[in-house]
Amino acid sequence: MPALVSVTARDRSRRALQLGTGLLAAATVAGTGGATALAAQETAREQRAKAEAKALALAAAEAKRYAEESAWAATHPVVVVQERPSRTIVGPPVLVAASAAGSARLGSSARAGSAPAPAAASAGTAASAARPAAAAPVPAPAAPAPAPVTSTGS
Amino acid sequence: MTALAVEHPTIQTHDGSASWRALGTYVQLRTAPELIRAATARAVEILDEVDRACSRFRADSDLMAVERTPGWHTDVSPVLLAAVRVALEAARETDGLVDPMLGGVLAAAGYDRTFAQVPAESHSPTTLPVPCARSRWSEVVVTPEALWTPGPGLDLGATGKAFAADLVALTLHDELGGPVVISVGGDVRVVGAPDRQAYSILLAHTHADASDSITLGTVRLADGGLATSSVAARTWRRDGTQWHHVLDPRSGRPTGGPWITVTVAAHTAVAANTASTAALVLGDRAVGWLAERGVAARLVAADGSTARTRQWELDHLDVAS
Repeated sequence: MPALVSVTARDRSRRALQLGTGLLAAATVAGTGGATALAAQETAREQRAKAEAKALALAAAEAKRYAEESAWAATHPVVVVQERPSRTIVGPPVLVAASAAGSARLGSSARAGSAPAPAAASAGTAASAARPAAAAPVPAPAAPAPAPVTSTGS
Repeated sequence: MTALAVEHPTIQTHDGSASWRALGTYVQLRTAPELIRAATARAVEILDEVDRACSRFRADSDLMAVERTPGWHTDVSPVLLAAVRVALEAARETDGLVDPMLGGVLAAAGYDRTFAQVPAESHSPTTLPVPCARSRWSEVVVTPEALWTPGPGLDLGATGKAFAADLVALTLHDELGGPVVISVGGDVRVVGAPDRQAYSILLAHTHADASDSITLGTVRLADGGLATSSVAARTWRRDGTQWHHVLDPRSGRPTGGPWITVTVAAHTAVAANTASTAALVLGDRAVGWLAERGVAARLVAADGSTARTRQWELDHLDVAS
C-alpha cells in the first residue's frame, strides 16, 4: 500500500506543526505577561492616586486643626508674658552694699570692720520710698528669740 | 536655684521666726516678733527677684538670656549684675577655685534642671567637655547695665544663695530696722544684733540630717556670715560616676579630698561660702590655705574627725556641748 504522504512531506508538516505550536505558546505567554503588567501598572496607578488623595486629606485636616488651634491659642495664650512689677525691688544702695568690692574677700582683716555696711537711707531710691517711716529712726525692736537657724550643705 | 512650686512661708509670730522654700532650697528667717510678717513678705519678694534674675533653670531668667546670647552684651537686671560681680570677686580671691563658669560641666553631668528633678541614678552617658576649659570666668565683662560672657556655662550655684542671704539681710535691716538672721540653704547672714548678741546656728552635713537632729554641733554668731559647704548634699549618680555639686575647676570633676563638710565664718555670707567651697576643692591643702588667710573654718572629714583653724578658735564660735 503506497504511503499517503511522503516521508519528506510528513516531516515538513511535523516541523510546521511544532513551529506553530511553539509560536502559539510564546504568543500566549507574551500576551498573558503583557496583560498582567498592564493590570499591575493600572493597580499601582490607582493605589498611588488613592495615597495622594489620602495624604491631601490628611494635610487638609492637619491644616484645619492647626488653624483652629492657632485661633484658639490667640485667645487662650498658654505662655503668658508677664511684666515684672519691678526689676529692682531691692534698693540700689543695698544692692551696691551687697556686692561691694570686698564682699567675697577672705580673712580676718576682712572680718574686722570692713563688712559692707547696711545702706544708709537715701531719698529717691525704691527702698527708701517704700519705707514707712524713713524720716524718723526706727527704734531697734527686741532681739529675736534664740530659735537657731541651720547651716548645712545644700 | 529655682523652686518647683510656690510654698507659703510658715510664720511663727511669737518668736519671730519663719521658714519656707525658695531658690530650690530651704530658707529660715529670724527677726523681732512684731516684724516677722513684714520681713517675711519682703524676703519672699527679694528671693523671687533673685530667682528670676539668676536661675539657670528657668527660661525667663536674666541669666538664661545671657546664656542664649554668648558673645553679646546683654542688658540684665541689676540683681544679676551684682550677683556676677560677687561671683567674679570670689573667683579672684581663690585664683579660680570657685569658678562661676562651670554650668556647662554640671549640665553635661546631668545637673541640668532644678535639683529636685535630677534623677538620683541615670545610665545616660555624659558628654563632658575634655579638657575642661579653665579661667573663662576672667573673661566675663560686667558693665553698669549689661553682661558679656565668653560662652555658655555661667552658673551662680556656688555664691548665689550666699549673695541672696546677704541681700535679704541688708535689705530687711535697712528697711525695717530690726535684727535679722537668715539662712538660705545654709548660707547664714546676721545683721543688726543688739549689743552684738550672738545667735545660735546648728551645723549639719545636710538639711535632712539637721531635720533628723543629726548635727555637727552648734555655733554662735553675732555679726557677719557663716556658710557650710558639703559634698554630702546634692549628690547623684550618672553613667556609673558618683557626682556632687562641688566641682574642681582644674579637672571638671567632683572634688575629692578628705573633707566632707566645711563651715566658715566671715564678714559676709558670700565670703564665708567662697572659703568653704574653696576648701572642699583644695582637699588636703585646705587647712593650710585657710590658715594662711586667717579664715575661721571648721572642717569635718569622712571619718568624723574635725579640724579647726586658729581663727575659728580665737573667735570662740563653738558652743560647748
